[in-house]
Amino acid sequence: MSRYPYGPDELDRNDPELDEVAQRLERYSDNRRGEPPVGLAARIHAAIDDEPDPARGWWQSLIAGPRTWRPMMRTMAVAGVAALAVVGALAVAQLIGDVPPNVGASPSPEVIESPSELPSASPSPTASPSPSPSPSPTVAPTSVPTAPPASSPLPTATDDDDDDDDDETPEPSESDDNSGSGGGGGDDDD
Amino acid sequence: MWATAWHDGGVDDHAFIDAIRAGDREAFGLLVDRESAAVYRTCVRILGRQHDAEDVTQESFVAAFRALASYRGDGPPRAWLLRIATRQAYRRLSQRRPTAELEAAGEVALADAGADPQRVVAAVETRDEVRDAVAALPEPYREVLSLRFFGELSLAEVAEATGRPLGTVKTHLRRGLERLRPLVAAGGADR
Repeated sequence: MSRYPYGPDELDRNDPELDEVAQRLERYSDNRRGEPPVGLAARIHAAIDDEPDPARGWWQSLIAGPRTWRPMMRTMAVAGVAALAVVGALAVAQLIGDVPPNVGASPSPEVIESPSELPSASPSPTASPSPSPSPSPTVAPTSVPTAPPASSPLPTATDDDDDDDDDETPEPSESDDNSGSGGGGGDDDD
Repeated sequence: MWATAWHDGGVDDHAFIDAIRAGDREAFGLLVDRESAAVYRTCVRILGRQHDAEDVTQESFVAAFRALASYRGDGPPRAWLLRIATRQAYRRLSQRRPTAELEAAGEVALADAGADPQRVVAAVETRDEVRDAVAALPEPYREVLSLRFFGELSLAEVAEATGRPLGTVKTHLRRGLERLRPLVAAGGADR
């Protein structure tokens, strides 16, 4: 007798001839209900014992423990070295490519320098201490040493309180460093 | 651990399946003890030869052990094993020499039909007829009929083992049986 005897409802339709075919297959199987020979299970056990540990999915290897991590770590190390090589090659290529053409971020400082030269001309950076009012707006964005007036656009609120030049010179650099948090705070307050 | 729990009747199926999937050899050994008879019977029904059935049963368990990562664990391990076994058995059948078929038929008949020559002949003819007819079916009908009748799985288990919807499996079963209508038309003795 089968574990699950065939029933006509399995076909979702009434077809006595198909039922008869199915019953014939079932009778065939019922006639072949012999037990396996003694020792077959032991033979299978021996065959399994000779097998290496089965291949697993990566998540199971992760759970299984450090013994199985080694190949994964090796793979990750190789991938890391390859990634570094690619990044290095890109950096070198970018360095080489920066010199002749004006590509990427390099033109922005050149553009800033050129307007400073146009209105105030070359003496402006050297004469920065003397003609403070006129060149100050043009010089301000260009160079850090002449930054005293340049700091005015960035920290507007603090400039009203601090008028000292010595205090203002480091501020642009500090404001650049803290631009993330400080700017964010200012925006939130507004 | 697993053997003790099994003898005590305290095996949790989910934990057992998880252990098998994790490659626990002891759990897999218990699976061999539990399912080797069912796998062997299925192989005998497909191959008709006990010696071949033993070999294919062993090969099926080894193949299953190697392919543990492919076992999703969402159905009974028996269904998964029997699917592997039926494939292995039909592969063996396709490689068999024609003379081996005659030897297989005689071996099975002598083992099961007793000493009565007339019954032996009838058994050989009937069994070869049924077995050959199923073996000649195209896939997926052959797989579905083999798992359902030779493996004694329910249709739901066949659906889980093959990863097909139950309705599709029913359709495959019906179409496979329709292709076997000549079996009924030809008649034949079923002991």
